[in-house]
Amino acid sequence: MRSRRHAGVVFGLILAVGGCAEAQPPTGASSAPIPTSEPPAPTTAATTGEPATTSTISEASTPPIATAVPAPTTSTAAPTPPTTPAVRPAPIAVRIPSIGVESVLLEMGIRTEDGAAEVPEDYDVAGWYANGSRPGGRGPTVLVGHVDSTSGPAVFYRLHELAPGTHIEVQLADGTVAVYEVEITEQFPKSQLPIFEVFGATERDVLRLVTCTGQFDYEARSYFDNLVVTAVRM
Amino acid sequence: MSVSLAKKAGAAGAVTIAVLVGGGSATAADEEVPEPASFTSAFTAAATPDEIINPDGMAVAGEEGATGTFNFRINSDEEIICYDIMLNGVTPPYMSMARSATHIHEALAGQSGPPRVTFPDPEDAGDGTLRSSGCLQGPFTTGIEAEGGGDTGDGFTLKEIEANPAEYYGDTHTMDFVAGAVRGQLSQVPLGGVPTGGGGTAPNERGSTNMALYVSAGAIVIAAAAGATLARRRVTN
Repeated sequence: MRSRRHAGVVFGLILAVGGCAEAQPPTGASSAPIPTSEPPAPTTAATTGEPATTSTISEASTPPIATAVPAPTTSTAAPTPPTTPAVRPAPIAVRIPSIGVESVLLEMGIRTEDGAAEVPEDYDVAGWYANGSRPGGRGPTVLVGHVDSTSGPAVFYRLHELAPGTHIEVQLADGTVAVYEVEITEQFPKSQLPIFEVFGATERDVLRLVTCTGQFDYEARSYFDNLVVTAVRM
Repeated sequence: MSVSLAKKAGAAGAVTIAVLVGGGSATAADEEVPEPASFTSAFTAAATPDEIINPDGMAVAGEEGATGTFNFRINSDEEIICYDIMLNGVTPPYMSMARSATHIHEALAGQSGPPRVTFPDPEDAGDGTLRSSGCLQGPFTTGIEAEGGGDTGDGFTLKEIEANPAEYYGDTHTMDFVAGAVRGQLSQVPLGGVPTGGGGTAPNERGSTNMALYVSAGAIVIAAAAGATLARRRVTN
């Protein structure tokens, strides 16, 4: 049975605890039913740093629909400015039709507490590692997203299904769409993530999507591994 | 550590030997050290021939078709920088007035600035690329005299890169491209794994132990990280 997440206390705890989103179980959950088709609230949660009040996971696990496509705003931990030329438009939304993913992209930076990549507070929304490259650059455009929470699947829950040849669409701030084709999916222990293989400069225009996978550590409430999908610009 | 002090063919007079310039402290610093146990930050730079700015502040072409990848891991508490520099399509010989021709300089994109750290010039890796890797401990000297005297590495610490990586760029200089064959500004890279997801319901949690799950035909299979978790099957409660 899915219970509605009480975002207020829960998100505050997630933000404080860090790690692989050690989600606390909802406290004092009201038994309000989960709407099946309600789009989540726009990205107010991560943009202002305040807990989302209406973010829910639909029963059908369809991802949030990006209705308007607002320019992404920075999250609470401001990323350092990207060093790629400013002429390249930033990625603002991602769409993966084959697995029903559609999300705006929030700009992510680096967490000050441990130097790890920042991830969105909102489980339904994907993030773009804004210190890194953008489509068209000679470096990976890295997108991050949660795989699940205690309430159920999150935005990148089905990432593991991506087979080579699958297309991923990245909408850019100038209105154009960059299309990438999946090349390889890999799994790495987080403690030994090869950071330059994932985030380091590349010869090609490459997109990477990162989420969690592998054995789940029930004490730490986090996964041991990262799933990394690499796709190449078509 | 190799020091590249190539003279331009036909140049009148001798090129000043860099180690004699800048206070004579060139041998006391820039020590090659083992990799430290941990790092405080990491950076990458995609170096291209399109971003070269000469000392007069003018954009000039680097080596067409060449690329470089500069990866750095820094421990700013111990003043150690570990470097892994790969060049593709850069044609030696190297040339620089500094201790070597491969540097981190201080300047924003579109500007030129002095070198702060020098690295051994990449050498033939046997696969058509040039490569250089290791770890250096400061304080650092470049062999280039700073305005007002001293060395352009004087007073520089790795914490400055951590404070604003966009103000630093990696490059390499060759005889044919003295202003730089390739150059790229530094951008920060996260340390460690990405913390995404905490519900325990992801499918792989109960399933696959394969590292490379899907590979397209023709793609190179990238091996799992050393010491991968196949043996680490934690007993869950």
